[in-house]
Amino acid sequence: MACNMEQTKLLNWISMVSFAATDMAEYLDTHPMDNEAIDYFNHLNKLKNQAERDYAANYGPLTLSTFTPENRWCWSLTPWPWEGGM
Amino acid sequence: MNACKMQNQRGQGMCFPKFETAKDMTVAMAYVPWQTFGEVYEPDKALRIGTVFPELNKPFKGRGCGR
Repeated sequence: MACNMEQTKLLNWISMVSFAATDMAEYLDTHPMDNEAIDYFNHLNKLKNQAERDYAANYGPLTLSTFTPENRWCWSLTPWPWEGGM
Repeated sequence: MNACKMQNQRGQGMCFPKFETAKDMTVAMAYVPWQTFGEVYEPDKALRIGTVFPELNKPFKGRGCGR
């Protein structure tokens, strides 16, 4: 099964917001009282969580935290990378 | 030595020492200027560059700085 454009786009978006959230988290480790930075981290984290939920709903879960009973145990049912999966 | 000025965060009582000038600093020690939150890259650029913070964008060019 070939990966479609929308799926690739969403996966790229998840990479972007996950990276930015992680970088902000590292900043906050040394600046725990910086409210402006906390606001930006929260903004990114919300985008990341929403994107991961959207991905899980459409293409199967990427993380344990977006696993739901409805999408079954998809880890083993979706294509492997060498089969064209992501 | 302005670049080496270490700033405390807006009076928020952080437990980091505050060095105002070079004369407060002990010799032979290394100091890192305090980073403050300001401009950020959009998530796509941040991932491409490797940091959210423009001030930390220091591409390795294989030569000494100032050359």
